[in-house]
Amino acid sequence: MKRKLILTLFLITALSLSSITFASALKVEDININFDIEPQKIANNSYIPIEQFKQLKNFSMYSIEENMFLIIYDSNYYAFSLNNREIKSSTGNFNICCDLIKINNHVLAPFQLIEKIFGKKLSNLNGINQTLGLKVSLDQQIVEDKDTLDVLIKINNLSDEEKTLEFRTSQKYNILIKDKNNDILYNWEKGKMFTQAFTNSTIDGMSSIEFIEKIDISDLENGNYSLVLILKSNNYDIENKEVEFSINK
Amino acid sequence: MKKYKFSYLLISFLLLTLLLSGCSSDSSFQSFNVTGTITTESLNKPIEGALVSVGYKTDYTNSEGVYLIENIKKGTYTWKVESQEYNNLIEDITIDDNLIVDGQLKLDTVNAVITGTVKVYNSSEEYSLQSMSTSSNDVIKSDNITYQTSTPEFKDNQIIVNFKDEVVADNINKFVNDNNLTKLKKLNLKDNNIYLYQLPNHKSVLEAVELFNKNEFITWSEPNYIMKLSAKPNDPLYKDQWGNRKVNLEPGWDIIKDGRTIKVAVIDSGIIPNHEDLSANIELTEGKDFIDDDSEPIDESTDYSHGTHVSGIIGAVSNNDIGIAGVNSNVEIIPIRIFDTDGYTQTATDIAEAINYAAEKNVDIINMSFGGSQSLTMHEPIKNAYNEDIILIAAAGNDGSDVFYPAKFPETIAIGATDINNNITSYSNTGFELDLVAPGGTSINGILSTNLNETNNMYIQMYGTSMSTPYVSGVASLLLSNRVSPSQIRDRLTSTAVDLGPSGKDSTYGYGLVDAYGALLNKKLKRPYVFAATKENGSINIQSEFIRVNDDNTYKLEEISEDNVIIIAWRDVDEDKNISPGDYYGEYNSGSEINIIENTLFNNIDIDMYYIPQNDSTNIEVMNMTRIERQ
Repeated sequence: MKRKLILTLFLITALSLSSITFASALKVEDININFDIEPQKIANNSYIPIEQFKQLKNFSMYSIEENMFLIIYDSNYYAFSLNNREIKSSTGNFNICCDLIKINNHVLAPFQLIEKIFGKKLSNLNGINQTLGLKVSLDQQIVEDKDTLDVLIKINNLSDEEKTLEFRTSQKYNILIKDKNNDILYNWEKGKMFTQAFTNSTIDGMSSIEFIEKIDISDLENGNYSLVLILKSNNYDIENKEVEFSINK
Repeated sequence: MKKYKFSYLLISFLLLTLLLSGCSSDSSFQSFNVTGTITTESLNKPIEGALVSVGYKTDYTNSEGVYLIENIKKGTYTWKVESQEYNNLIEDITIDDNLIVDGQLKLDTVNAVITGTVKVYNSSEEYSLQSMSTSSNDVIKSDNITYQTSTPEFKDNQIIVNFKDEVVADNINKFVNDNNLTKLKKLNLKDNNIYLYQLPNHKSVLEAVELFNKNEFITWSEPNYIMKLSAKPNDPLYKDQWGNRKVNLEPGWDIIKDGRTIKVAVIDSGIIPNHEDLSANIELTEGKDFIDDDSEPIDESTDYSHGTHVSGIIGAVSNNDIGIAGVNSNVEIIPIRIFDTDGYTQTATDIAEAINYAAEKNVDIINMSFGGSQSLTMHEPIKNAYNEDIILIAAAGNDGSDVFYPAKFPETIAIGATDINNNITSYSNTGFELDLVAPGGTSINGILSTNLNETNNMYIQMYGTSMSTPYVSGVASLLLSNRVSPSQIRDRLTSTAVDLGPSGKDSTYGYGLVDAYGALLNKKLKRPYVFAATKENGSINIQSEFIRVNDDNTYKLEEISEDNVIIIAWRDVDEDKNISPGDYYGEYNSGSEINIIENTLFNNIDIDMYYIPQNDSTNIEVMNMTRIERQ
């Protein structure tokens, strides 16, 4: 019970801190399902947000009534209620280890159910990227009196072991600024030159490296924007990080 | 009636005349000659002593393979040629005039196949070990070769002087004035007092050395030796420089004449100026730092120095018993710093200014081991430099996409990267604009070059098109050293490159892998020949078809005579039909014989082939090679 509580608390924290992405994923039908959890802690009683699987073609989830849900996947149905361990299914009814729960409007199922539904099509990507986290911070979310934006890029090594990121050139990342229409208004790499030898950045265990960029935003009008950080690592597939900011001069 | 008699007589006369005239032109009363040349089918080599018969008449071919059979009447005859080791040739010929009948005899081959691979070593290192001498018949005479640098040569009117530590500037100035010396440079060695001077025209270098070495201010003086390489250099890490062998440097160094010193601008992250293996070829005082805006383009990185690594590939000092061998030791590298320790530029302006600066310094070559997106600001100075006959060489880029700028500009030579097996690397950018490839390495087999000065960190491996670019800059500098005009450099490099990938220019390899030897010879080196042979009385007797290896260096010999043969690989570089210096030569298993009998298959008969250096005495004629290729 203590373990479950800790994990649940972790999820509450992870889901509420959208600026932190632990690049973790499950693979179903060759599609990576990204979610916010520390994969090395995945066990049968680990909770996964079910809605993350919506992009699968054969997957549908319906709310039958309050606290009661139906999943259709691969011509099979799975019906369950919140705070209940019993699953009614066309493959046969069964019980799971833990109750299904709902936090911040996210329906969370224990990993055991996810594995039961997707069976052999699910593979846990406990791969190379599970212990690296990317964080992007801006010096201000609402820019009122500056023509520049300071961007702090932080790569966290959450493991105890030293990790080495490889980059194809001296370029380690790119930064884009998009408007609400998703049009790219600023491309950091444009006009820059990079040395064309592979480079490495080594991060000690439980440590991080940081980069700071100052971006000229004097040409941007008042409005809301998103800043996208693309890490150019050649050996770690870390999801792009996007943060919002607005200009109100 | 009388009238009829006259008519009969006239008709008879005419018939008789006609008959006689017909008889007089009948060639059956004449005799004709049949001549021709008998050669081997595979080599078109004359066969001496072949018995040629036309009917009952015969003749033996002479040393040129020629026979002559005279006085044969008109008619149809059996023409037959017989010679030992060859299959007979039989044809019906009709003779109604003098006739030339040539014949080509096939070797009396057996049903045998030999397959294998020829491994070409662009090195003379092992040549002496096999040296064609292990066979009992030892037919190709070769000295037991050892490799040394050629007789020391030095630059006219130049002398290097090392003053004692305690000697002050006034003493040095007095010495210089007294001896009418002109200071050329102070060597960039740590804590040194070493200068290069120009002597007055009338003064002998050796006499000056003798005189100066007696001077109280001087520790030593010596001529400015020209480090001309005739074979493998003595640098201890040379063995790890696989890229140098891939671009065929040793044969190139072997034939290069002493030439002018080439100025190469390396626009990069700066330099470690006092590196033990590089400082002598760095012209720091000519350099520029666009980051710190001063005249000392020193790399401030504490991790690695990209600019120092690139510079070492081009011009690390060779044959000095230290470190590595640069592509061309006869260079002055002018470091121009535009990259801070983070390895990227903020704007294209720095690069534009750097290119302009290099042009103002009258450099011959600009090496640009960097890339990015298009910039008109950068294009203008590149066009200006190009119009001033400066060779611009740039990295194609590492992200496996289209060729980056500035490599993509038409004025620059765009360089991709190959691995240790001459395959394109997964990261090398491709496209129509790609001109050449050169060794760029991988994480497993990187390119070794100069780095920082910390202990054990003097030389490191790096990989990328940043590394392939200076290989081409170095080879271009060898060409310029060898008096090739700047306007010919691009064509020389591309027309002599080793074609890789699809035949001709393609978007993956461009024109192919740069080849220093071929470029210096102005000749595209052809694929080697492979054949079976016996050795006898100072000659090689070919006992098989004569083929070129396939593009992947494999071969398959099928027409082989029944004999004990050796399998030979040979690249006749100078196409003089002699196995001679400058060629490549190798024998399977150092000349081990293979017993060819009916129905035999020999696989993996692999041959190592080496460059025959210029100071070797091998010179074996391969006769009458007029038609020897089976592609």
